[in-house]
Amino acid sequence: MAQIIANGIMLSFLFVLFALGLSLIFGIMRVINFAHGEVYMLGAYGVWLFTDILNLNFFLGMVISMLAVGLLWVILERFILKPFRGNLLPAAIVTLGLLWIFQATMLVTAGSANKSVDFPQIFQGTVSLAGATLSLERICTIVIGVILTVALLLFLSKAKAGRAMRAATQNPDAARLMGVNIDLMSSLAIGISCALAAAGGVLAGGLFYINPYMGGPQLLMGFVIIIIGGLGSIPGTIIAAFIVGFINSITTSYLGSNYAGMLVFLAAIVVLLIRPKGLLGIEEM
Amino acid sequence: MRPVQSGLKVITALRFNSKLLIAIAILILLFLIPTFVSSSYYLRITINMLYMIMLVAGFRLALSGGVFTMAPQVFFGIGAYTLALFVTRLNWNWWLSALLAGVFAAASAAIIGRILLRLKGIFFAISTLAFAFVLLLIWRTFPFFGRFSGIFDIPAPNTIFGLEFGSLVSYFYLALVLAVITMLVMYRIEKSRFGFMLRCIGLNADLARSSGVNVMLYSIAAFYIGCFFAGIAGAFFASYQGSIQPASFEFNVLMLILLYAVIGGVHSVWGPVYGVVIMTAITTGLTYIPHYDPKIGPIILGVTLIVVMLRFPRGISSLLESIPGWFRKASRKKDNEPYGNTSS
Amino acid sequence: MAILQVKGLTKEFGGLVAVDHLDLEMNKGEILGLIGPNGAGKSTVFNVISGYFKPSAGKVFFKGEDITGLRMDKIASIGLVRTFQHTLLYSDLTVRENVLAGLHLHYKSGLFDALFGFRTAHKRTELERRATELMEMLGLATRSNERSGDLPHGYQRLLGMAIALSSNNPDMIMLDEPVTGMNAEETASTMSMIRRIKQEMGITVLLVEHNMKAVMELCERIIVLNYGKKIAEGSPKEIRQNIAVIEAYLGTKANAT
Repeated sequence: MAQIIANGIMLSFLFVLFALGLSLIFGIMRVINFAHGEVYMLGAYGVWLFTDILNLNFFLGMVISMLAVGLLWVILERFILKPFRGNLLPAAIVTLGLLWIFQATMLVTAGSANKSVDFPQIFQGTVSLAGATLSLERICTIVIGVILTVALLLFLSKAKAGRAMRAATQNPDAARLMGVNIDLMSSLAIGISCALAAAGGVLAGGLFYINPYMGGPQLLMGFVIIIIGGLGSIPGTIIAAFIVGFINSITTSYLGSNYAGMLVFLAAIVVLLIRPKGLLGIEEM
Repeated sequence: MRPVQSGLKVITALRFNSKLLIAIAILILLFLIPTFVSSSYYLRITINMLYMIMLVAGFRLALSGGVFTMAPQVFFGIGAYTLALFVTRLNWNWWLSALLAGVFAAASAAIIGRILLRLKGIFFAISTLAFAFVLLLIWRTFPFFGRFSGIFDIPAPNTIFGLEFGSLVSYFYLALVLAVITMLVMYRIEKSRFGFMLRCIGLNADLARSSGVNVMLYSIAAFYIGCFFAGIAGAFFASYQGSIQPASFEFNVLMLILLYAVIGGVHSVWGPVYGVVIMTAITTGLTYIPHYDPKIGPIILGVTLIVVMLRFPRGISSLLESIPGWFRKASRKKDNEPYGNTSS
Repeated sequence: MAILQVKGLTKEFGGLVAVDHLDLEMNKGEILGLIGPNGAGKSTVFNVISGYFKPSAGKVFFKGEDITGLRMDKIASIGLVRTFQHTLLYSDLTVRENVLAGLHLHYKSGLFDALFGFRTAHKRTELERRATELMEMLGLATRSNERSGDLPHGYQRLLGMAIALSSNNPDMIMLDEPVTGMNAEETASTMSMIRRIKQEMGITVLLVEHNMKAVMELCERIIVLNYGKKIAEGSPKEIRQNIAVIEAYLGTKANAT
């Protein structure tokens, strides 16, 4: 039981890191980032590059990977996405193009064989808690997940830039009128979102495996999370990520991972029937 | 004198209907394709293009009315499964089943629309995605639909008007006729008042509402019509492939549809055709490059995509449909001699 | 008889009260101005009356009928039309096509007719004639084939008005910031257009506006809002002298950029 809970929490945080970015990007720029799964994937390959090839410490590699991916996407946004801001469909198509480019590039350069990275030696071990054996790796993941999520929440509620971002999410026009620099907000939003997704990828790489296709299933889950949590709502996304994470954890333990996807989708439909805007979806002005 | 006079009449008539002439010429060319393309590889590619055009055209119609769905691939699937089930399990006539496939798809659109259309814009889109997930789930889970393996041994259309089906060429002609009918309907709609209102709604739904237009009615109609054609395309697909699996109706089909629609241009009724033809030409053309590694295909596609979108955000149709304008400008230039007639 | 009656109108957005128990009445043929500092709720009132939002509480009566919570297109077809401040046109269409779109209400309704009835030539010429009439009245006739999105801003606003006016004999028009951001010349000509609408077409006008000078000159009556509540109502002269109004403006002006 404790195992399932621990797994649930861990998976949830991985989803949180991923989905928050998706939600933020949509909120500020009204763009569906079809390539978000590839951001996640790039993060994983990034840490592999820094850790396995350059022999850096895992955590250092993670930070560098987050920064590198975040920066890459800030640049991409500025040159490729900015012309399409507010223009939902062409922007989505452009992210589609990016998806293909990144996935194929990694396939060609790194090959399709699974790679993996390891958490530092200290974390190779387990701990007994409440009658369950929890790997230190997973606990570490949860801790990092908590740190990053809390950091983001603090940023959004306390920092001036963060509050401006929230305003821009609710109502971009009003925010602009109040003097918010939308360009800056967009760069910030995409940088943070992608850094978070990259972090998720790093952790997933450490816990599971790395390959060019790992982004796809994550993206699908990301969409479901947004459906359940409600577009544009940060707390909604977090709650939904937990719901999805726990559904995954519970079904995988009892029924096998094939059925996890099914139940998650069913949950999405149930939510949609009761609350079509998602649990905490923002009122569309 | 009479032959000359009537000849002149014909020529004048033809000049006014030059568009019609071009259309007929193109149609004739299309129908003659199997005569100069004997390779089955290319024929299959063309057939592929034809039913994709149907899918994209339906998607575009709904989109032009302000209904952006992420589920055309499952309406395609609904049509396919409907046909497959009625023909293999109930032994119904193929043509009837195909029509039914379209109707079922449109009916599903009605049901799902009832529930989800209260949502606006992107919320609606994502919820249609959820709907797509669920449908795939259902097809994968229940033995009635054949679970992962789907439905097999779907026969060719019944002989009709003495025409027999089953050969590749027969499928080509069937696809061609269906695609032509689809585009004809789309064209008629475009020219009608319904099409005009749809364009207005797609441009500025709130403004339309403030003029008393019941936006919901028009948008929904466009959505149903689009799904009907997706269903028919699905019916064709089912027989053409001979078997169908849930895997044929996944996310990747949606991405292709989006790709073709946007590249071709969603504001133009011919956009779907441009998008499908050009992208297929590019992907096929790539295979000719010596030592071509298919793995880099997506990279080239992605880059092309981004470049095209940046240069032509409204799609290739904005380029292609401005070409007549170049001719007009050119001919005007010729008339304006430096010391020519002074204009009145 | 009061053509528009608003009673106890309240609109909340998730805890934020944008409009607070507003009472408002308009008589046929008058020009009423709705003013107030930023965030006072003017646009919200506008949007609720025209059907863009549903009110949280209160009622709206138009020509004696209860229109509370009706859909925007239903309200427009009864004779209450509005303009928009942003996204006010079908920008890809020409000026003429914009007006034709607005004339929709003159067509028979029904989908079947819409799909197959476009060729009714005689109805078509009637509408073309009406479109030309409207364009001429608003000074847009010379630009009828231009892409509306390319028009100078002042003309776009005029076109927005033309679209609103093209519906089926509107009794009342609501103008959303008709002269905001215009230069003196454009403002003057728009103002005379609004007067013509009232005088020649007998249409009642409700407008929301920030340009004080225009409001004072144009409106016969003014209502001042602050924090969603009505704080003053009266003739321009009365409002000018009303202390509460001045305070509200001074108060927010001190805090504004």
